Amino acid sequence: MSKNGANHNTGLPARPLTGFLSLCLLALIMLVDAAQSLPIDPYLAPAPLALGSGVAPQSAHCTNLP
Amino acid sequence: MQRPSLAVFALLLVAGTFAAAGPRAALLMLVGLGLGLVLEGLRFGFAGPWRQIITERDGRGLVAQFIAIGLVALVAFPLLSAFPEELQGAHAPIGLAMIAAAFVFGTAMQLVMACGSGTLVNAGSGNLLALAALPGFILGSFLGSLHQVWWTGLGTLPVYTLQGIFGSNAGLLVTLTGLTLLILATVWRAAPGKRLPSSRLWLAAGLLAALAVLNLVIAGQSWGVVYGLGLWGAKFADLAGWQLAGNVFWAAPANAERLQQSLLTDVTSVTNIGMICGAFLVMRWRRVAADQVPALTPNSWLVVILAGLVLGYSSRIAFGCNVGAFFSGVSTGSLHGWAWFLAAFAGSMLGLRLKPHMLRVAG
Repeated sequence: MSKNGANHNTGLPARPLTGFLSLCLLALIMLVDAAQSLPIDPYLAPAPLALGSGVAPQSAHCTNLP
Repeated sequence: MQRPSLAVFALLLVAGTFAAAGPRAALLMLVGLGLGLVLEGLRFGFAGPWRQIITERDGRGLVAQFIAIGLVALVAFPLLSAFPEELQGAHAPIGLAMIAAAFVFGTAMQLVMACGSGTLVNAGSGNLLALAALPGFILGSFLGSLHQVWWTGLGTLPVYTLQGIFGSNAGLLVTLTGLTLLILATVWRAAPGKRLPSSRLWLAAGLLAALAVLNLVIAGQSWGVVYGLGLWGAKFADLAGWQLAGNVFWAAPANAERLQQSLLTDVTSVTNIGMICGAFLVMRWRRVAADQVPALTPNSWLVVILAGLVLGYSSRIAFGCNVGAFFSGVSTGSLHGWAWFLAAFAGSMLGLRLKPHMLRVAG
């Protein structure tokens, strides 16, 4: 791997650099989220475990149809 | 990056999540990190083993998948039966569009060489193919959410679960019998020496099952991936001024609330973030990073980006990917999980035939 983070054999960015770029993408998503979402109300935080909480889950899952 | 700093990074991630969103989010971040560590560290995947049984008659990874699903089912069925108000399985209806979308997902999965969780884990571990596909996956999941109700209206059965048909204990027995038959079929198909999982895969299957059960107990719902990605896309769309309140999917109370609230309050988003970071930690922990994927021709990169889009769209229409639909669906008794598996596996066979024509190494 060269100093600029590219693989010598392919010219593509090496894994550490690519992984770092993935974290940058996550950071961008979180920034957009921070700009778009309501602030988190700590008093509305759910119980640590859903099991035993007496509260139904969020119903925000891949399998849920509105 | 030094190894102690990687541990500090993980601690900060969990502590920061706790401070921002409370103990449940922090626990789910731990689960997500664990999933990333297991999937990347023990090289447990979904798309790869499907390819290996089809092209190399290597059934070890696929058998490990079925074992992991069976282990989750052993715990999830009794829990879902005992706590129906607090816990929710990954139950969805079988439909025409759902089956077609699962088939398309299976095809695209072999072009990107990763499924839903695989794309996240591979991106975190520095795989350029996965990072190229991920934005398309997010966009596709969001676009799929806009059209999901229309597609579902083309013809969909009610939601059927095995516990609903047979009762909880018999439903579990039917699930375990089905998985055993699949294991036997895989072993029969596999070449000698490639039939039963190695100790590494046994360990991965056990850890993955434990983490999936923890996800269910902590979140109240099964492990999923695609919902979070669609939500990420919706966040961008909302910020850009897209009026999502007029869409049936995003106007539904549960989804509208998720759109308004922080991603750190969405269980799927939190575990997705944890998975990417967990895979990153494993990649940086290794003394020598693995090789990057081969350089592809420009057209092949375009195929990967578009395949990511197709993965996202189709998984939304199919009610999930390998995780939400197959792994979590089958392990919590949803009949659609079985239909998803059959359709996606058939799609994978097509994808593997298309791959040599659509992905070419440069030079």
